Amino acid sequence: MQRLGVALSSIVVIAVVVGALARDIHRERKDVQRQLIEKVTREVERTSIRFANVCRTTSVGDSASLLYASYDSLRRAYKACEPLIEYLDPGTVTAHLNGAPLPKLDPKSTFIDILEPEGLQVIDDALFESDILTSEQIDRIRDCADRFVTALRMTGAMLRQAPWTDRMMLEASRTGVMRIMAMGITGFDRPASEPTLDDNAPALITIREILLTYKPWCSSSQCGLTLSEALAHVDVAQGYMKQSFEQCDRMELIRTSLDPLYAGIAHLQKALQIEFADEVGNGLIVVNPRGTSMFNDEVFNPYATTGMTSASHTPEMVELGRLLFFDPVLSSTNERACASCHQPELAFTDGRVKSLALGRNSSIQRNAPTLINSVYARRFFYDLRALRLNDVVAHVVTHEDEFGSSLIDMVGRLRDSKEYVALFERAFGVRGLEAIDATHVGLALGAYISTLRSFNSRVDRYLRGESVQISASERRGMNLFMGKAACASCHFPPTFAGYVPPAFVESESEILGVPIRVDTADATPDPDVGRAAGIRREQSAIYRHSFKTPTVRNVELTAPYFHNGAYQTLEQVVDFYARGGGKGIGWDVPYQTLPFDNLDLTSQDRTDIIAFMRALTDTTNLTRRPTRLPSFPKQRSARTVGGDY
Amino acid sequence: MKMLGLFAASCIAVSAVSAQDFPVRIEPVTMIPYLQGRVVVPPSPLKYQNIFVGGVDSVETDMGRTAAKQWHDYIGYAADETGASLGYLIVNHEMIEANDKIGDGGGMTMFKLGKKADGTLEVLDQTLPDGRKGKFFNVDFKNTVGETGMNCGGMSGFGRVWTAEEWYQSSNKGINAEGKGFRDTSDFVIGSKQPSGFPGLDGKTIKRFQNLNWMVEIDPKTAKAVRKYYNWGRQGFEGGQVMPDGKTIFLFEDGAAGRSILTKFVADVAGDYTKGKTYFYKQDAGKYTGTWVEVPNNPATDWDILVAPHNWAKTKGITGFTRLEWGAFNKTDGKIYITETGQDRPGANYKSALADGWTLPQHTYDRAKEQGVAVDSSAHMDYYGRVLVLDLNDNSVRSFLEGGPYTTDAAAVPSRYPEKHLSNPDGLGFLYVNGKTFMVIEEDLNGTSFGRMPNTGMRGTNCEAWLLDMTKAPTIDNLYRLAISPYGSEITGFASLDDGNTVLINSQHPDNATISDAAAKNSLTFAVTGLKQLVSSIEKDNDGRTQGAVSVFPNPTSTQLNFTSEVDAALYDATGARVRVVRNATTLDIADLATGVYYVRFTDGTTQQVVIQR
Repeated sequence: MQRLGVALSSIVVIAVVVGALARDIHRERKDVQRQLIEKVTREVERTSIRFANVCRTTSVGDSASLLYASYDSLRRAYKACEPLIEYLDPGTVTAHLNGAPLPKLDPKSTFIDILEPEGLQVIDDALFESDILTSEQIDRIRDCADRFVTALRMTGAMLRQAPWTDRMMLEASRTGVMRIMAMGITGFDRPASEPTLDDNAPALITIREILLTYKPWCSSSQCGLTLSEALAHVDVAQGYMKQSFEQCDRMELIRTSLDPLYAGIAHLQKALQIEFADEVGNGLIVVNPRGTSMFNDEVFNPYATTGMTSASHTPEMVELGRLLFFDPVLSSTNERACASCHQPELAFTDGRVKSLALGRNSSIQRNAPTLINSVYARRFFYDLRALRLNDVVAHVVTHEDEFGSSLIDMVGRLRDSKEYVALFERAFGVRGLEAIDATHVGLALGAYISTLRSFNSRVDRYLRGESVQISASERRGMNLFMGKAACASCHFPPTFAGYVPPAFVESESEILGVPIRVDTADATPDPDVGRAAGIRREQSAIYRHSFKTPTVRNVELTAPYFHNGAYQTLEQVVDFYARGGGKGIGWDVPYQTLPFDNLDLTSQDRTDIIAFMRALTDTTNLTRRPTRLPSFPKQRSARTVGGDY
Repeated sequence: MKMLGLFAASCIAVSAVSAQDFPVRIEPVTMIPYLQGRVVVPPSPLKYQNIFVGGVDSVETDMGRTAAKQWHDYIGYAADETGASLGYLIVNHEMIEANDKIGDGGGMTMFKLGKKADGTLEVLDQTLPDGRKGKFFNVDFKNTVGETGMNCGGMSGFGRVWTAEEWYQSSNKGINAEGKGFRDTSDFVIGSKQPSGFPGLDGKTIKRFQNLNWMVEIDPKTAKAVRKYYNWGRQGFEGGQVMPDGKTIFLFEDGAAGRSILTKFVADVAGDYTKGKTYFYKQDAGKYTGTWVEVPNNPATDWDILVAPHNWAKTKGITGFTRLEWGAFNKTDGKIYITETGQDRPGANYKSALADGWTLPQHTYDRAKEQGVAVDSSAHMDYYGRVLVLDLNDNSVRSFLEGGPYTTDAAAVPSRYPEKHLSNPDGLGFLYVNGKTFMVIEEDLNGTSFGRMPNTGMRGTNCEAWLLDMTKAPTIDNLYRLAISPYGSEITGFASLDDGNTVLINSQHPDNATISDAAAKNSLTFAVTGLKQLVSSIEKDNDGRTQGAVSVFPNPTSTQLNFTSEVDAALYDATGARVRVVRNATTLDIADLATGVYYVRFTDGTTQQVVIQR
């Protein structure tokens, strides 16, 4: 007991001494961080005002190049803030500071109000539209600049006043790395001007300065090593940023610096025992704050769209979802299952131009998309009409060409099976027939679909540092995909789908101008209006013929392509994009979101891009079908796993 | 010896990370010397009870039973004057849907609430005069006054209930919504199903869309619509307030920015709102005071004005607000409070409204001036919205509580952000409990930018309901959080019953839900009881806050821990594993944590034991 007392008091002494030293270290770090935030904030405020002023001095007939220098300083200053602002408020970035230069709708207006895009990319578009400034162009540039200045005034207030903690500083650094990898090196930021990798240098400098503030705290050798490794990765990345946009080997850039840096910052956070985002509350986490690579299965929280947590997502629920997925009892005729059109062997597609309709006599409206990694989407279907993964089933069940049933009838059919009742009881902890309802069917299917995740392609494994073979063609293909060919400015890594980095809370759709069949000389536009006939509040011209941007993972298995399945081969698809979509083949496609200039791709370029896309194939462990379906007493006992057709 | 080993290990753990305030793990035994007290967090006095779930509960229609519509919005309330039950509740469905049984468009669902001996609420069985039997009944619009659409707000008073149709439509094609909305777009004959209440209008043929966007009275007891108030004008109404005089009604429009009207109606005879005068509000230039401009409102002769009142209003220089939502009369101070939800970039709308002849309210100019921009500049911003106050003594409209958190004036930032914040207020009501008056404000976020969703590393939107003690300064720091709705949802509706101890609230269109709760995946009407205890504990919280040593106290009001001053704190579970860290906080949310023993540790190394009960 006495010894215990001694031990206790010595702990107290140590704790007090260490505590006092620590206060100074912590206070000093906070001060340095505050100064850093102030410095980058003031610089972007200053350069934006200067740019707006310079814009005011230009007149019609001047060369646009008079504005380039002040535009360039503004860009660099913004980029230094980027990790902080993209982390703190990605909504502000997409709406006001550096979002894609495309109109959006006011989500809450009772009318369909189009919000004109704002920010640096709009300025970029306006500035490089024509070298000799027209009066319209000047008006546009001035308007953009003024809006930017006011948006920035609020942004500056946010950056300064936000309750920054160590956790937030490190998570912001990781967000910055994700932003660089997924957008910064792909040319996303410069829709009109010549992209450079050097644009990313200021963001890396900020990340470096943030990391350096942790040096005094890293007294142990292990922590110090973690920090110096992270700093070394920043330096390696910084070296790559000096290379040319076309020549840089992005695979090596990611593999040797950006991805290890992304992991390294989390290691540092862990070594310092700083809390992670999942410890501050029970809020929705989309990007896993503890993920150790941008190219493995842990990069996202797969439950973000399902309303589940890792605890509530049980094996019983997944197994039930799998049975339901392959069970034609969900359809009115007992013939068709989800798996009819989403066959695991074809990466959950069916190989048809458009899926067969119930009754076999016709086809449904669109091509069957893959379900792999669909759990990361924020909206579902080609027209983005479903807001929740669990809601998707209701659309399919009640569609006369798909399952031709109603939710009440579907639930009634399932309740006929004692085995199903028992499975639902076990999965949802509810007793009796009540365990089966439409909500639980949706949740079970959602639970199963959320397990259809793929991050083990050769590309993933190579990028996260494993020793797998990547051919020279695939390597070149990735560089083209994420560079000159601009594929990644819509098919964002790491999902290579339209899930927008670095927050991943938005699913994009695009207007491409896809023809009714493969043709360039005498093509007919596809009449499907897509998103404009989706949800009521989006019935706007800006979404006419707009379709959800699918993933290019597993495209090797998911032919034919596009919402109408008109394109049979990847060569045809690449050719369509290379020409600049519908506008590129000479149509007037209002609001086309695809750049319509010719990409000037050589045949080697095309081969390489396709080789890269084929290296993204991975359906490992995803293709298991159930061996039997739950039994029914009556006529429904004879059912085919996965449906009759 | 074994214990010593443990201590040694914990010493190393401390020094290795150079004084981490909150190491990921603490050895439970090391906490003993620091224990200063034991705090028990008892179950919350607030009882949440799910009452009505859209899409799951069935309604009785004239064509049989079917699943209720979703998208719950306003909750109308008519007390049961016999005292046999709490009364009749009517929930709006803010949607457009083709529905064979209920009728196309939006709609409303009526039910009667009773209170059991144990204090829980129950939906009572009823048999209506038209023979319908059950618990939930759709309000019959299709056989009475014609369908309604997007039933959002409304008003209740004197046992009567009105519903508002916010979604302003200007064509039959629009309301048809490619066959998913109103399938019947043939002309509508006023009074063809039942007398309209405006004899001069009966028999008049109008376009189908023109029969939408009126305030519609329904009978809460029979679940049938009574009439559309064609004499108040056709607007994108969001809410209204029936005044205690039985004559005056205020109406609030959620229309376009710079074109949303504030309307007053004064009946000739109390209780008969079909005859009287209609006025639109016009603020005096450069002032907060204003006048009420009379609108010609004889339905038969002034039909062209009433069916498109905005065309008339702009010629009179009527004041256009930036999307009014709900309003509520505070019987304590006699003023009307109105939410103005705002619009991110209203400049272009203001520009066209001003060009058309509308005027803008003074607080809108004030805001532009503060931002250093012209009111109609494309750079003008209105992210957070506000609560306005209409003083009936001088007919002035002023900003009462500006939303936040961020402002270019650093001194005006709520000191307790992100704990306290308010954006895009929508629902509004007053609660009179224990002799005190509280404003209830419900958020409906227009977006997530500029801190409307406080970033702590998480994404998604959720909306919150706040309480403001009206004796306190109207600041964001003085807001008290009543509820958070599930992710992606909107908190709407507010009905106070049972002497203020119970409120009914809706959670609309949730995006996500916890797995065990089917009610959380659909639009839900839920009851919160125990408001009286809540309110007394808010007062206790505020009084109990001291400047001295930090202590943790159980909050008897909700599932959270309170600290007596702003602290950094970490919560550890019984095994010593860190489960939660908060910074600069006065509360720690434990609603999602399992019951059991936990430890709270502060930056000075002191630890307190906390027991969570439920």
